[in-house]
Amino acid sequence: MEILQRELNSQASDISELTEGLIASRKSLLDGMRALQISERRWQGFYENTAVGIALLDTGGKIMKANPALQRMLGYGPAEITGLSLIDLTEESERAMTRSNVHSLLQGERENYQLQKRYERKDGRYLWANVCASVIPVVDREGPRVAVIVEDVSAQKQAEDALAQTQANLARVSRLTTMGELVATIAHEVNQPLAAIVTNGRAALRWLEREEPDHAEVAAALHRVYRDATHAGQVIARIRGFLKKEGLKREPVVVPTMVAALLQMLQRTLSNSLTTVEVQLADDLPVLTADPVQLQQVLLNLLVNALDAMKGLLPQGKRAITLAVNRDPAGGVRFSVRDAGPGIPADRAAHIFEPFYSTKPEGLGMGLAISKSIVEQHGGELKLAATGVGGTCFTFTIPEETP
Amino acid sequence: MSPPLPAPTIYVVDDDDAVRESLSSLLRAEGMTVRDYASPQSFLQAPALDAFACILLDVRMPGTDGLALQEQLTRQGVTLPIIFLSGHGDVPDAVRAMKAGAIDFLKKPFEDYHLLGAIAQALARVRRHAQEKQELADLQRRYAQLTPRECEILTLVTQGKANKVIALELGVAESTVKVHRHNVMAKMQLRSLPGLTLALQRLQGAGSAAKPGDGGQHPA
Repeated sequence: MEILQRELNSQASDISELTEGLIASRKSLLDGMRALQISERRWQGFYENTAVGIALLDTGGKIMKANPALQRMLGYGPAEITGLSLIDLTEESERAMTRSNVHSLLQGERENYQLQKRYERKDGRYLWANVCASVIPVVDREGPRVAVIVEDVSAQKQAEDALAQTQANLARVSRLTTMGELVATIAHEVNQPLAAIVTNGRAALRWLEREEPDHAEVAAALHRVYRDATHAGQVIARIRGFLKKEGLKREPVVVPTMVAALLQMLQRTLSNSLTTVEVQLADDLPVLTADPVQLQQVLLNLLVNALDAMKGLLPQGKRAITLAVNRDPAGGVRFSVRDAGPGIPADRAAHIFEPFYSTKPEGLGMGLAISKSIVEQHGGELKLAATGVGGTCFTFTIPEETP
Repeated sequence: MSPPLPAPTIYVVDDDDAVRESLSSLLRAEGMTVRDYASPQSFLQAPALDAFACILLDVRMPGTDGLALQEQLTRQGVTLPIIFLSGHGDVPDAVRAMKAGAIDFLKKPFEDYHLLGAIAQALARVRRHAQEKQELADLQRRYAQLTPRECEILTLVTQGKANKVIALELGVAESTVKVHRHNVMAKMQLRSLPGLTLALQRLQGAGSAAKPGDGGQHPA
């Protein structure tokens, strides 16, 4: 009986302990749920209000969820954006790359990637973005997902473009200024001895024409003419040396490679001026022995001239340059650059190869003069092949072996 | 009429040796005296300048340039005519130089006859100024010979007053006025009333005669 009583008491206390435990764990469960709710609301608030775009994609790249920031960036409403493929929204040239990136995430080849790319907005404009994508592995039975975070860097890109443009302008201005100063110096340095030569010459004549010609004075004046003329010649030789800097290099030049490198350099300028270059390269081009940098300089001059010729004169879409490179019947290679500009008036065409002659308001007039001298140093010939309403075509030849 | 002139002096200021030498030779061949200076500073330190002279000035020189030198000479009262020589031929420079009274602005290289023509023009101006100065001095010398009474008569005559009126104003006989008037004309070596009026104007312009109507004071 006593034993039974003790057993009962013990059970009662166990039950009360158990009950207390139950109550405690229920409380902690409730606390936990509340914390979870708070946490989820915080995350929801962050997702709704953050400035970065957030999207969750399915395995096909379709948007399952996109936050308001991303909707704004891409210009779609909340209902429109769901189900769109973020890969299709990528700017055309980067789509294939994006597809393979997403594929590599889903294959587990990598956990995430970051890059800078462009999206096409609903209104057709482009959005420059920093993109960070990562994979969310399978949860329960739901397949893997891709989380994408998008930061709008269009403003930054624009600023960079403006800066690059400013720098390019600055470089151009400073080059012109330097050339302008150089020209002024040449003019002054040569002009002084020239003025002295003219005056000495006249002085010599006047000494001779006197009633009693003074031969000593005549000789002295002529001696000064000789001295000053020599001096002027030296000034010119010095300037020539300065402009030439160094002689021609002779290297094997694979023309298609050289052309491709040049067009790469010009790509930005070309796309900014909405101009296309059609390149026609013959298959049988010989490898030249020439100075590749100088040849690029010539081509660059001709291409930039072609661009300038069409600037503002034609509606978009008609600005086309044809660069044709063929084997020259006389051996070597013939380059031709044709634009669709208005042509060069006949009275000007005769002067375009003269130094300091320019048909452009801000032109220095050195481009074609320098190009001509480079081509001639290579043993080739640069000429204006055709000009008229249909456009202008310059051609130059470079022999296989530079003399 | 003028006494034979001495050879003119041409001052050449140019920092370029070759240009200076050539100018010197050309001008000496034409019988001119040449003094040349390689800088505006050395020219400013030159001893007294000749009267029958002109200055050839290069526009661009290190330190003080030609235009600044022109201003400085004007401030110092140097009236010698200036011909500018410029290696650049900048229009604003030329305008500034001409406005400040330069004879010409020649761009190097220039033709010798252009330069010699400009020099002849400059020397003609010097001579004209000298002649005018001489004439004024003569006039002042003659005017100084007039008696106080003759000065009075001269003033009244040039005011267009008839002898009778002058006689009345001065309280003398008309015949006395006639005598004084004859003496004035003789001393001033003039023959007509307009000539007399002109002479008085020039004297007044130079500040060496009494203004009309202030009582005909004789110069002190």
